[in-house]
Amino acid sequence: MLAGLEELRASEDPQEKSLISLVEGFSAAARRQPQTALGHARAILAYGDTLGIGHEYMRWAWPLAARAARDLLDTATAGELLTLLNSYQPGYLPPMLRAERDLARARLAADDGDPAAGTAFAAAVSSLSELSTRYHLGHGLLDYAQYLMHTGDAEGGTAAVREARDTAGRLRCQPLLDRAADLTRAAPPLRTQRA
Amino acid sequence: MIKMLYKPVGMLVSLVAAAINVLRTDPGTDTVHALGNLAHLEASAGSPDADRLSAEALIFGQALGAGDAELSRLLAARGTYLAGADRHTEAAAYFRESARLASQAGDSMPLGNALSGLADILAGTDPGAAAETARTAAGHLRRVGDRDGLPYATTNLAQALLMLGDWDDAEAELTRSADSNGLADREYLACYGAGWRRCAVMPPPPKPCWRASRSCVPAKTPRKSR
Repeated sequence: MLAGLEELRASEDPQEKSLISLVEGFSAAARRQPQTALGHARAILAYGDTLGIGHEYMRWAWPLAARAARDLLDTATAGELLTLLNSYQPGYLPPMLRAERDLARARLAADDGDPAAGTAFAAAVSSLSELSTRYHLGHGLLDYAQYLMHTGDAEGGTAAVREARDTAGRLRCQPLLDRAADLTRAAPPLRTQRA
Repeated sequence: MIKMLYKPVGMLVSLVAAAINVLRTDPGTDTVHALGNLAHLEASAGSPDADRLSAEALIFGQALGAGDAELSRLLAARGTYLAGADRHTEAAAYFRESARLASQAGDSMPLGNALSGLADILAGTDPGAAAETARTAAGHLRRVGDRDGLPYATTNLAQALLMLGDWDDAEAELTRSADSNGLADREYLACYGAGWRRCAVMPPPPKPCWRASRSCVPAKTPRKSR
């Protein structure tokens, strides 16, 4: 799909280089190659001083990097990514990245077995709903669903998956639908409620 | 994205800087123009000189009584620097004034580019306003056939629509711009569209036929074009 873009690939423009990295990063994520996705996302984040953390490619690259680090169970990188965002003055961070930071913190809290993780996830999903895109909200809902299922709340988890699947369907976003399908398959069957 | 001037950066910066050294001996409108270009180049590259140069270009421009169109370009260069420095409120203010002066001068090219820059800034916080601004920018740039600026305005529109969750509209705008505006050869636009399809790879649903349902009738008035 990216064949024949010689001029773009030869460009010194940080925006154009970032665009290529972003496309390759999302392609890798769709092919379930998180290591490659992480590499491309971090290449974009390296332009933070040039483009600014509020730039559109930063807004999409940071969540991509954070998700890839999560998929790789790479908590060191997840921590570095949080440190990167924390290094910016609060007013410089775009709202979308503030919401993504909430989500990344909730994931780390869940990994640490923090009892407040559930509350953190609920708050993060609320932030994503208000401040981010439908695509990122969908992923956040699936993270929350994963957590709920892991902690025994299959009903809550299934509801979150359903909401994410509806969002993905409206966007016609196959990678998000695939992830929702994976979670549905992994979910324990719900007990039928008796009257 | 904000329209950038360079390709390749290093060579152009050297050339423009050399030209400015010659022009500084007797500064005039050419000096201002060259300084503005250099400021834009340095701002685009995130150079440490971008702050000083973009401010200096504006000071020169005002002192030498540059016209509205030129001042509009200088303000946009300063806005580009401020956007890269994450000073978005200031950047938006510069792009707005840049757009106002370009409009006053009746110059659609800087007007479209200033609005495109403004849309880029707004997309992170107010994607609805960003979409409207980018659409207006694209209209101006299309009118004057700015094949460099139009892909940026189009992708800024697509970005705002992505933020709003209007993925189908975003894809349609990218396709329409490539097809209708003769920009299919623009690699930047092609790459943006390709990247887009990496996320949304499901084919669009078939359009329902109104004849299939008794409750649906053809619209009597055409839908408002985008």
